Amino acid sequence: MLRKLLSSSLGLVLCFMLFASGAIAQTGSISGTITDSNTSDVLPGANVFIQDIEKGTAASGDGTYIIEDVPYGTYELQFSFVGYQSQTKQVVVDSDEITVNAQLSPSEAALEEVFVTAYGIEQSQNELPYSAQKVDGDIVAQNRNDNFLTSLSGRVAGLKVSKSNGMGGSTNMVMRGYKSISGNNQVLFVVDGVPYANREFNTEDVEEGDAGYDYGNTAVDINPDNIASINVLKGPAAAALYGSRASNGAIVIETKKAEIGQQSVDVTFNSSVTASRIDQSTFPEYQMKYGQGYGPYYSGGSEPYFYQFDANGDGSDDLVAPYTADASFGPRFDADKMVYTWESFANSGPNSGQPQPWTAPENTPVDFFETGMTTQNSISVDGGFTGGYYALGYNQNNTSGIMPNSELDKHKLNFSAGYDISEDLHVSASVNYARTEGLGRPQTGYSTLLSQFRQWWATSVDIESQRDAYFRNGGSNTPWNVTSDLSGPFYWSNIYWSRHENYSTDQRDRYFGYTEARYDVNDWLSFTGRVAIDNYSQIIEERTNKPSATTDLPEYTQRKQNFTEFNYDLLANYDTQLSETIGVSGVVGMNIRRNHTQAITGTTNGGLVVPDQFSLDNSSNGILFPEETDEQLGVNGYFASLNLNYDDLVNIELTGRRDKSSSLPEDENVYYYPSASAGFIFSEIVSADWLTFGKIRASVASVGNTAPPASLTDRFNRNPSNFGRTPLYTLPNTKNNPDLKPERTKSWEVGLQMSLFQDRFSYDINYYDQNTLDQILATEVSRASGYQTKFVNAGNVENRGIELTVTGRPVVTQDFAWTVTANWNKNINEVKALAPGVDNYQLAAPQGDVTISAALGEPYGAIRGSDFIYQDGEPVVNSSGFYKSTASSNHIIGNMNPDWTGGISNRINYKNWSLNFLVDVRWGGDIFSLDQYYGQGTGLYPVTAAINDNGNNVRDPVSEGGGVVLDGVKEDGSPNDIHAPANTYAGAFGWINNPSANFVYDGSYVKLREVGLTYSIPQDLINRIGLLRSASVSVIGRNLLILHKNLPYADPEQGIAVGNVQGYQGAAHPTTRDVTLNLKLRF
Amino acid sequence: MRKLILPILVLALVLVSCTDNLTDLNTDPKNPTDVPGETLFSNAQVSLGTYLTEPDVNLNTFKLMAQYWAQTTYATESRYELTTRSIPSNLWSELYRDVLKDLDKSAEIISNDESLSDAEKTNRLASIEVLKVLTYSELVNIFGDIPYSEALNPDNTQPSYEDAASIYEDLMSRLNTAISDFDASASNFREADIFYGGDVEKWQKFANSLKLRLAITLADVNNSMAQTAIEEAAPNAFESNDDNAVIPFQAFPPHANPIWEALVNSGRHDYVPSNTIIDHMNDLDDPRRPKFFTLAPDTNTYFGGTYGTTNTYSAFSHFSEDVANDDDYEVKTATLPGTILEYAEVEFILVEARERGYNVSGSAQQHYNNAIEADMKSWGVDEDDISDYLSQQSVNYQTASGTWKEKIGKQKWLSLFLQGLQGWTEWRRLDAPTLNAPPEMTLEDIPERFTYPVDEQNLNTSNYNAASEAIGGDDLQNNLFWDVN
Repeated sequence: MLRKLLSSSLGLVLCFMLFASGAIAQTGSISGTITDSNTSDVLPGANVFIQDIEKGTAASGDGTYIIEDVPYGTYELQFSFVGYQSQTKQVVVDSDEITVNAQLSPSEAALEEVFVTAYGIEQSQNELPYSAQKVDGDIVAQNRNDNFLTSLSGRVAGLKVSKSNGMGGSTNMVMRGYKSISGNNQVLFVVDGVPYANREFNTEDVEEGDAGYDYGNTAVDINPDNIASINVLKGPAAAALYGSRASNGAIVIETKKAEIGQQSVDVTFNSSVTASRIDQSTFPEYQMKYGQGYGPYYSGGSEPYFYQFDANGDGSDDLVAPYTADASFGPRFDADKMVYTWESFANSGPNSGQPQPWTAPENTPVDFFETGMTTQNSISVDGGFTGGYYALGYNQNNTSGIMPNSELDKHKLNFSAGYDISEDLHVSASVNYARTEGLGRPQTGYSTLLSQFRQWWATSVDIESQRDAYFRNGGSNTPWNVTSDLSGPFYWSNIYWSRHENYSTDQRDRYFGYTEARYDVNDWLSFTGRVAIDNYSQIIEERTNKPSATTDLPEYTQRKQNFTEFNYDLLANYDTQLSETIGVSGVVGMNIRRNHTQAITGTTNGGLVVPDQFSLDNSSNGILFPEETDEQLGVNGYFASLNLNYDDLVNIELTGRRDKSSSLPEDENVYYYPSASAGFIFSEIVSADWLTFGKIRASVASVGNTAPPASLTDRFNRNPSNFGRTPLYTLPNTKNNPDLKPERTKSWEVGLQMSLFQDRFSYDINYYDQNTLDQILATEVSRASGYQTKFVNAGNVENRGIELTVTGRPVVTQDFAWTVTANWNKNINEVKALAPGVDNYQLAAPQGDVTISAALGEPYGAIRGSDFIYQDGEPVVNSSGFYKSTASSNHIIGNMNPDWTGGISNRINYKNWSLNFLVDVRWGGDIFSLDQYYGQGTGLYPVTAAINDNGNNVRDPVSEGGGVVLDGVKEDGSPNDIHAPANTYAGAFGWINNPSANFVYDGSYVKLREVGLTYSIPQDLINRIGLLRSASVSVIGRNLLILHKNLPYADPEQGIAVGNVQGYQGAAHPTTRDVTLNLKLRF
Repeated sequence: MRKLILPILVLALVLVSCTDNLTDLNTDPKNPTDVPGETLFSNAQVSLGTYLTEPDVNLNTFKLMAQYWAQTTYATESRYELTTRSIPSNLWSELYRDVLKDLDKSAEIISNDESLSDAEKTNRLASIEVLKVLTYSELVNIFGDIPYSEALNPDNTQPSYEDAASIYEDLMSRLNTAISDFDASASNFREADIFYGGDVEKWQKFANSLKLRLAITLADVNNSMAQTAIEEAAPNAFESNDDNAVIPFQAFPPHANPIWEALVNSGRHDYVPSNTIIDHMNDLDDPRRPKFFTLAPDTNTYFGGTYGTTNTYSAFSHFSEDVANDDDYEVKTATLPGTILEYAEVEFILVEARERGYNVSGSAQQHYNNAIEADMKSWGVDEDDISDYLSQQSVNYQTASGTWKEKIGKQKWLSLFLQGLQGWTEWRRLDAPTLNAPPEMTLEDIPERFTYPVDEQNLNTSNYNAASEAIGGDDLQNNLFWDVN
């Protein structure tokens, strides 16, 4: 497949090259060489352009360019190149051959760097009066896995990115902390000035830790190879013009575009292959001393840990492993004992009917995971012609996951073009299509496959035998956990059966695009009209086959969703100098937004008639009424901004937006967003050699937000099935509220930005304070009110914190350059108010006797549960030596918010070599581990079979010197010396005799997130080949090493799925180490 | 190119003009704002009937509390662990939200329904009232003080708790009003009534039978009220199993008997019959055993799993299965009706009424025999087996050992098999039969009530605290107000 694709891609490349070489072959009268100002390397492909006569070209392989037939006169010559600051030089053409050389500086070093802010307004960082950060498109494209969003992790101060659940899993992206108690906290995505939907399809169950599939989120539909830059607008002031959705910050993506008139074609071909293996430090290590069982419950006599019955019909009782148990508190391994196990009772196989020595297995669950492979191939072409430009691209990505029967296939196409119809009128359009097909997406939450490996497993089971047993009989469900009458799977199916027979498939087709016309009234005023459409249709099918483990009745579910968002924009942009020193610019405009979501879900009822036939009409019983959703939201907005620039010394920006929303009551549906920002460039008035640049800035903003659709009027819900012939309706669980008002976010920030010693050292520090008030939240109410939740305007969440970005260039020489950038963010979150009289808002109550809540006076995401009982700071044990536990589960035992997050990225260039690496840190923040809560209780982990202070195994009876002395004090306050029994599931370990607080862990991590090494083929070699402009080979490693963590056997970064419920781990997926080999060719 | 300016301006005007109907977008075309009141009543009946029958460990653990059932692998709930699965909270949701609030809304819609005759409206409202009284009394029997007159009002999301005894008095008076409101000459809910198909006379009997239950529950604390109520209600209560209030579960999910769903349809093996009930029945040679249970594998005996501990499924008797495909009910039958209130209970109440010296017809022995006979008949036990059983010295009301409370307590508890909540309530009230303490029980004793939902501690804090104080602490061991002897 890969080979086929490569060859066809190369064919395509060749076509373009013929075209390209035809366009380049010209002679001219302005010529020169374009080089990198730091390294003096030539820059093949850099653009030169003369706006006045719309003539331009690109530098050839040796960095030289020629523009011919330029009439005598004075011109502005513009030099530009991806990843470099643009430069303008004045040139007087008065002879046949003029030479103009240019040295471009890499844009990373640039304070002149152009930021794209709301509605395509471009501002240099000098001018920006609020906090923003930019990530280069190349960085994003370099990450060749199935999710480019993860490459932002650790690169933007204040943005927390975490990806869960393996292949195609969802990505949680939260800026400056959690703000909305019950609503969406994810950043807004904007592509080329148009909001880009980032939705997810995970059910509420999945988001709260129950079983289901993680279908990822839709921001990954963007073609990463088409991204020119990512501008991260952090606060409401920056984003106010985008309306309410940007109160969580905005990620503004600009796609690649050639300059109008650029007389060259740039063809880039990228091909990569990535291998993924699990990081064993994120997967359980099992105790290998004891096997299947819950304790000495299965028979009398001397072998109570075994069943004893006549398994082979010889008339005498045999030792039989407790095959009903999904735990490992069973008999101690002893090779001298011949024991009948699940394998003995399997229909066929080497051990069928035979006992085996009772020993630890050769293959453990870690051997279940395969090597995941991702191939990604892309080609992008961009170029210009007189009066226009175009860009097109295709990206194909195929991933096979680390679990059997999992695959993800993506195809992304993009095309954009612009054309000057006349001097005044410019039209442009963009069309993007993405197809995503998933097979066997990761299951998350309780009672899924990973629940077995981490919570309910028998250490005596050989995973290879499970595999053999499944495949041996043409795919049969031969379980390791068998019903007591040996009739089939008990709590769990054969692992391989689960993967191959019970799985989901999904398919999404997405269209995104716009058409735009800009009319330049004069040199300072232009009008732009734009219509943009974002649409996808998604179909999800989930299958459970027969005969599966007892908990899974055969079932088939189909979910369909169709989403559209229309945005109509009409803008007037102005930009002029009122005098020598005073410049004004800004935008006045309107935006009309319409969202429509329609969905339908159907599920079979009571099993399937024909096995393997997955259709709704194969349901054993009449299917339940399908669940239908039809939701619309409309917002009409008017906005204006005014940016005043005084002599490049002071920038003042005022913005305002008025929104009218469909989902609020008619007399309360208008809300305003004012913002004011100011920046003062003090380096203009301080003359000091060491000071290259210095700016202080401050801004204040208030933004509004609307209610979820249809939350004003009460509706009734149909019970999904009649009772006989009697139809049933019920009141919904949520009480709607006709008196809702818009919610408000108020924020301010101040920042200081300095660059010293000719950009050798620069930093940007920012303090922000943000309060989200009058939140529209479905607050939980006493069930005695007849409802579970009620929509109210209440609550206030405060986020304040410091963001710091420091960039240093310790070494800059001809051949060697080292740039280091550190990002750091400390966010302090506090829930300042909830609904009147309420001191807790429960976000989820997952398994494990814990709840995740917004608790009054606490940071958002408090973990509540039962706690230890302390005496002078020491946990108290009872007379049996078990920890005493509070009676109620209402104690705050942790909080999901980290103390701080940060990242250090390094880029080292040496001649043709470039090395970058990123260390990503999260410090603090708690995680409740359901995996430890149950897994210790079922005796999976080494601690449950450790050696105690007597030198005996903790599982030996206490009377024989066994048991474990837990850290703590006795009820009289003296140090604990009681040996607590640990020989059954109801012993010292796990959920039964411990408070939930015993399973709360510090979620810190330090990760070597990314290491990339790139070798660029030397330019003289490229020149000899002739066809190429540049070529490079990279090796990129992601998640190579977790340098520090406290959570055992799991990655603290793994959460439930995208959403507000974090700080909880159950059935966590292992993290993979990914190594990519990438070939990049530019023609 | 100035000609393009005009179209752009026109487009802008079109955009502006289409913004008028913004509010119209905010609809939910898939869910109605008005529904017929009877659909809510039917739903409340289904929710109530399903809840009372439900063996789901997240919702209804009363078959364990009454020690009819034992658990196999995860013996957590049978050791009275309630908070891990938020059982009190889940059951509030079921009863307040899914039963009481739907009844409440149904009453509101029906009161405003001008198409109904006054008499039919009154009958419908009286039926709703009976179910509300029943549901509130169950809540009181589980917790003690609960939110009552301030409940079911979403404008008051923090309802205060009220004294359980006062609630009982009010329930009694509401029930009396409902009873007097019924008019047998007019229609009621008709086919929307899942319990009785709209038969007003049956509703009258049901209401009177419920009155007997409330009254006998009060007997130890308010003898006069109990006596009056029982003397009023006794002649008008159930007269045979045909009058029983049951939910006729359907042959397949989601409205099949939830016991069948848990034991058969799920394929799980979470429960076996408890040794507590099987040992008692073995002692009495009870002919209901083959109706309730299978013989333990490889034995000729009925053998129950040890209550409150882990049991190997294959070693014990199981619940009876519909193997003969006959008309008799077995436990694992999808269409086994779920009992809300039955004739046998009425007869047991009358035994007690005689013993307490109330003026009701018939002898204690007669009512005792009627009660046992009624229960056995509902399970399809042969007449001969019934009379053999009744004539046993250990069963015969005259000869059986123990006080009347012990005799009634044991037989009533046996007849309430599958009605876990009522079984546990009668055990608490009559203190008989003797239940087994789970091995390694960490509590002082078998619980006398449920603790309040954890979310009440969070969402209704001050009222929760006041209520806890009023009942002497939110503790599993606190006796309810009617549980004084």
